[in-house]
Amino acid sequence: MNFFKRQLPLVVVFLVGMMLVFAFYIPHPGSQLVIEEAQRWSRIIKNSALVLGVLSLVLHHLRKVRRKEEGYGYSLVVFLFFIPMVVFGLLGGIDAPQEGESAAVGYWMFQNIKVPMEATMYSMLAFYISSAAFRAFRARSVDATIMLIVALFVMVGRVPVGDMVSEVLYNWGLPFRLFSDGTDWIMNTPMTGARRAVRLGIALSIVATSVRIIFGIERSYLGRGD
Amino acid sequence: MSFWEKVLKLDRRWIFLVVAIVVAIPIIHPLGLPVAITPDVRGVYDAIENLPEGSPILVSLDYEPGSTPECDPMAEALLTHCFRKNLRVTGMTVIPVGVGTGENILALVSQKMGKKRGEDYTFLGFKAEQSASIVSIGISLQNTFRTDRYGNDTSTLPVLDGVRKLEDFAYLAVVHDDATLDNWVIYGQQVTGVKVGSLCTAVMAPGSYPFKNAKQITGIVGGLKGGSEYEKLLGIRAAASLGMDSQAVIHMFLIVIMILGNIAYLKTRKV
Amino acid sequence: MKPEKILILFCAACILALSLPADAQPAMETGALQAFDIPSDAGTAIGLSWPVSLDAGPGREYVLYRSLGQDGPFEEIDRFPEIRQVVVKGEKVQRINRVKKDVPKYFGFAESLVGEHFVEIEVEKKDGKQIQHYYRFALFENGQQQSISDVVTAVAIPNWFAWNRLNNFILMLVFCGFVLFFIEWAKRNPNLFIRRLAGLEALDEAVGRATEMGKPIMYTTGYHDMDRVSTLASVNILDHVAKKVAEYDTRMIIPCKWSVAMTVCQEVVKEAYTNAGRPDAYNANDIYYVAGEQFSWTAAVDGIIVREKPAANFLLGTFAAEALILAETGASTGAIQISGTDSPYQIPFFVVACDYCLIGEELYAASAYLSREPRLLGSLKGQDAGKMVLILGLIAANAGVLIHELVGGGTFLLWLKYFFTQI
Repeated sequence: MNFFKRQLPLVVVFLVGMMLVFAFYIPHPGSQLVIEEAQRWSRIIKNSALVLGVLSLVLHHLRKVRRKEEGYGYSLVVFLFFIPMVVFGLLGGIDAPQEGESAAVGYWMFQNIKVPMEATMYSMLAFYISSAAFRAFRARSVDATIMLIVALFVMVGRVPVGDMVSEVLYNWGLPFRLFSDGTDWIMNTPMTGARRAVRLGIALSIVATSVRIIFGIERSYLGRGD
Repeated sequence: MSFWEKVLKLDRRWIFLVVAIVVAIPIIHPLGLPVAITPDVRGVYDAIENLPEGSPILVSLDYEPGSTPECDPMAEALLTHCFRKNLRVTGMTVIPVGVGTGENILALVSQKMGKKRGEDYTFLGFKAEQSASIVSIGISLQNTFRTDRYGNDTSTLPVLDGVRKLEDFAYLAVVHDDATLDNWVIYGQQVTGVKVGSLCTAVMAPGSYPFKNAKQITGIVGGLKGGSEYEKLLGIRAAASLGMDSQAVIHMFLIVIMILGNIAYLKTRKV
Repeated sequence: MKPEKILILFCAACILALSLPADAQPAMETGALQAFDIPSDAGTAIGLSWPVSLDAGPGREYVLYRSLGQDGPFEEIDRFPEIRQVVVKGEKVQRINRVKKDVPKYFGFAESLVGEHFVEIEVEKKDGKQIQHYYRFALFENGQQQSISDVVTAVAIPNWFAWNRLNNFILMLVFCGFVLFFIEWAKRNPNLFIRRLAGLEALDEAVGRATEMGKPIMYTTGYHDMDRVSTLASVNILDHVAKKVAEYDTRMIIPCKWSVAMTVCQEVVKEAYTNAGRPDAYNANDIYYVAGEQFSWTAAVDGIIVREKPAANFLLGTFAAEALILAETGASTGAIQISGTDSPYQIPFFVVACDYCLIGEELYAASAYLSREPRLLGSLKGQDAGKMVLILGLIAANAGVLIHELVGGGTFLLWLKYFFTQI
């Protein structure tokens, strides 16, 4: 049993990992077939696992409703939307209607319930950034103060008020448009440089982590017991 | 408790209430704040403006429904510009949920501008595996999309006349809310040399600057501000411009509360 | 000259003129048009090349013809002008249309390559077999055909190595070599220094706080499934957290966005409880799938945070727009929040809204940091060494490009730039 839980996964990870790494450098259709097959298997496994996930979701909420646990009303709401969406989605699909056709119920629910709700959730960011900015943008240290000043500067520069103030100062004799040009410089130079550095580090870390996983040095994802 | 301590302990729901009010007021009573055009937006506008009439343009609409408030105004301005110049617009997407959002905005603008599907524009739909599909379009568009979304043969569509692969397009505009631009630049622009423009949410805009600095894209239309600048260049005042008034006011409010919070912090900080 | 000779010459000229076909065109130099298999591809395309004309200018265009047989009939498949307009440093300039030097991934940077046009043609297949076509091209000037080439053909052959990715291959071997070398080296030199990561130091504190308050911990592995390395990195940290949680008998809730991630998390946590000698305390019902859509999952996690009021939130993995929503909701309940993401767009939000934030590669270093295992620490050292090589290479490449721009000369400098910039 230990072989199937420990050694076999490591062997599979090593073989598949090495195969896919070298397949990137081999343009031959046979090699590309390997990549396509691996991607296909990945999609099949993901979508098959979706059954597990849905089962987990249904059982979790069913248990809450049956035991009338705290907040079980929300579980009832889950079923209220889950069941019709699945039924109408499977029966009529969620594709946009063609010319002359009437919209399927699933499409209507997608466009008129899901899409607005997603947009609403996304809109919450406006409120949350306000409370986060008030709570966390404090000049606690030199670094935090610099971050605060730059954030204030860019916030002014990204709205018409900044453009107006820049224009006024420019007409008064400043050789450049303070907020407009300043914001452009911040975005183009230090911000871009820092972002490139972070991305470079992340990319190299991904390679190093992948090497550790492929060669079986990193085994935490299997659970402890080695 | 002193005034500044009360400020520090302010319930966030008061902030939410004020945010709701300051966002709503400019929508009800537009302020008409002026918008200055930045070189980034001009880069996209000029690239399209300089295209001869009838040039084919590929618009990749890669944004999710949650980003429609920010991306739809940009996409609408872009498509309006393209249709005004009588360019042949081909829409597509490399994300699954982009089909709904992309098809909707294309249908909306084309209807408004009186354009005919198949002749003036078409929508190809979605192709899985982003990088592989972009490489495939770089070699042959017709092999990648044998039919458009409506079942028409892409090798005979008038809107795709003379277009066989990615480099045959005069311009590629990517409207995105995720990192799909990276794939378009790496597998599209680098390989075929097609000119690319980025139209993205404000959060994603910083990720486009490295490409602009490397001259791999002609310009960036970032967020609602970028959309409002584009609308100003077109001489219209639509959703993005209306939204900018609210954005300007909310930015000012954020600046005020940040300064207020810092004053309260400094006043109450024990030395 | 004698009149007889003049008459003979005149007759010969008439015979020659009459024997020429009425539509005869000057033929292009034999062998000028070449067809060949495109290197480093999957056998999907062939290339055609021919010399750039000395008379190149506007108003001239090339027309490509194709046929199933050597003798025709030929159909036109493409045409393009000899001169095209390109934008160089903001100015429109005229350039000879695509030449071999424009495609260094196939032909390199030799100056002689500017003298040959190049076009790539995708081959057609029927029933899996390649259809062999024959090609010729003609040069037109102001609509009049000036010359026509010989007929050529080539077969596209799938290649076993992508030579245009040799630079990528070399860099991959060098970098992986460094990582593996330092892993071995670390076995003999186990006391490796790694700088303090505040977020990881606070892990124990966070778990302890939750235990004292009698509240649960909420852990999320992020937006992506197990096919992303960031999710694997998060699961590696989960392993350590789960071990502490099992020892302290604290409840841990893991709402998952993906089913595969859910099953992996269940296994990891179950193993942790078993190894802590508390298999009975493991509750699989606390690790469950909530939703596959971004904001549906976000709403569900927000609901869990507001209802369950965890004392500690761990937001580790790749996140998108939901990052701030999750972090701020957690902050509103007074939880200690440890976040970590490799998404550069969300790092600012986590830095602002969370107590601790692992930035970019710190998320991937977490496993080595927490276990302090020499092999894992050695891989971090190898990563740093590889990064140094890359930085030095980029500096050299940039210096080379600068020198090339200023004083010109040297394809070596172009190759250096190409080595680090083309994948």
